[in-house]
Amino acid sequence: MATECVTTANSITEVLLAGDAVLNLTQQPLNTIAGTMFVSADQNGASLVNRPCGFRWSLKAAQEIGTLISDSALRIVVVSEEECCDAERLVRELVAQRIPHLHCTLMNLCDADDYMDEQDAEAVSERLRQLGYL
Amino acid sequence: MKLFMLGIDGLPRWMWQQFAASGVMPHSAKLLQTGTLMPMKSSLPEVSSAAWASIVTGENSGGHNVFGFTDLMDGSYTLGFTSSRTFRAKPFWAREGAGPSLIMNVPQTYPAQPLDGMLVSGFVALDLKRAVYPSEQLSWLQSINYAVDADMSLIEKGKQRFVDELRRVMTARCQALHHHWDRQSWQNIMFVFTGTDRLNHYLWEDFEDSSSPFHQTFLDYYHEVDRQIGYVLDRLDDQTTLCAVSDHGFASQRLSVNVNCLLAEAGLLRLRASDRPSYIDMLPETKAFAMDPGRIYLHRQGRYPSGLVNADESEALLQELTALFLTAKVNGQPVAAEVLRGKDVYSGPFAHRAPDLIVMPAKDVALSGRMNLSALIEPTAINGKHTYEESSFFVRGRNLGEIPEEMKVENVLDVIMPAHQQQLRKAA
Repeated sequence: MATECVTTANSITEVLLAGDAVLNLTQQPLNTIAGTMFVSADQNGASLVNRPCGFRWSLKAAQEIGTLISDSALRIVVVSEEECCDAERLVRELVAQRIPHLHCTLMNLCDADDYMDEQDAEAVSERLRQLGYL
Repeated sequence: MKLFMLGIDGLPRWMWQQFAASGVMPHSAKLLQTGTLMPMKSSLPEVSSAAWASIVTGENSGGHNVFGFTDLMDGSYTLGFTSSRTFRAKPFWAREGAGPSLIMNVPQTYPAQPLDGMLVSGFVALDLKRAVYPSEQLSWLQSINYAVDADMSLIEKGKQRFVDELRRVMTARCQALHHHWDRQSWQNIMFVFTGTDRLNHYLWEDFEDSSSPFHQTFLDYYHEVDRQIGYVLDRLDDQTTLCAVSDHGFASQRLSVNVNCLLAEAGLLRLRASDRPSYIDMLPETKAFAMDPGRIYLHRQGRYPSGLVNADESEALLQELTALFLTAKVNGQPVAAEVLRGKDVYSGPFAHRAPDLIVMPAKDVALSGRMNLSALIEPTAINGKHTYEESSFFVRGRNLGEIPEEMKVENVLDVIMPAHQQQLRKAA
């Protein structure tokens, strides 16, 4: 099973499976559906919660993630931005503990089109229509 | 070793051999004796944007994120067009240590991105100013009337006018290639003929019918392409790996079927009334929809704003859709030859963005994913279609990698720069 993927905060559900617990290292709210489990961290360590929350890195919390794996949390989905040191440390810890995981890097895929204005989009549409694509 | 990669968009392997043998392409006849020519499989679906992206990155669509010419913006129904910014894998010329590269008319490279060298974007380039890097080269290209694309609307004024336009555009592109080739010692050159694809789309029937008044016009265009290939061959030394590829094969098209109409007729796609129907007009009860040319997406909860298909019902729905396409007939003609599952086809960090199903069209059938549901059979002047099988792969050089028995577009870099590819895999 893949352990890395790239997605957006808006489309995170595309990669989530039943039994996933989301560990959100970003400041962004994720577009998850109701009932999605999240990994929370506080001074007492790591825990599972049924509401969206962020995860603040601490070695203690990272080392406790293995205890969260159960019938209801089968895989940890680490969500981070690009080049996030905390994500790298965390994934190393998950690998060391052999915890099933997926690391999702968030990218803004919508910038693919930010060079186009409406006129450009119409021109591209016309070209694609001429070749039978649209 | 230096690299020259020549692209001949839409040239089937069998046609290249046939034209080489019959004298239509005499330079190719000599060339093909100096290396290995193989049939190659295209991307899935067999669309130029995805196939060229695979050729230049060595990844399938799950690795480079280009699945077609269009896509929906994540978490929305907004139709987006794929471009150089959609690429999420590095083309070979942008990799560390690639060396100076001259990249001309490669589809899906617009807008031009900075590189060590020079790039002029190919289809779907809109504006030459944004198609050229570095921008200092723009004025010279303008001075020779370099066109980012042929005016395809000229087909309405007749096939001869259309082919004349293709020739005009090709001549300027080749002039630009040689002008910039002379300017410095390039490590990599990539140049793509794209007029061949346009010619095949609109004059395939004339190629097949030797009594057509445009049959010779078709052959003459390929003869001209071959003459340009000859000029390139004259300049290459034996220290240069030469790879010549096409992105897909070609075959006749007698029927263009709108897949979204099939879905609507089966009650699986419902649109609200609209003057200009689009994906945003899909009602929540829509179960599936198509994008060009045969990409099928379940209207999944969470993935699309009003999608209601949940994980529990997806398998049954995929089976229902597969059966629908495999049994569908239009005018007594089967629509699909095969239906593939996206999860079996794609790998890489973007595989989750892939279509759920890929419908492979039956013989003589082309598929479209228009949201205008007014016509199941679409009227079109196009009479040639892409094929998944039988694109061309030719290579000659030293230190080449092994050519896989089942050669695919994403294997091209493995063959022509095996050491580099292995390093990348190791790093990954």
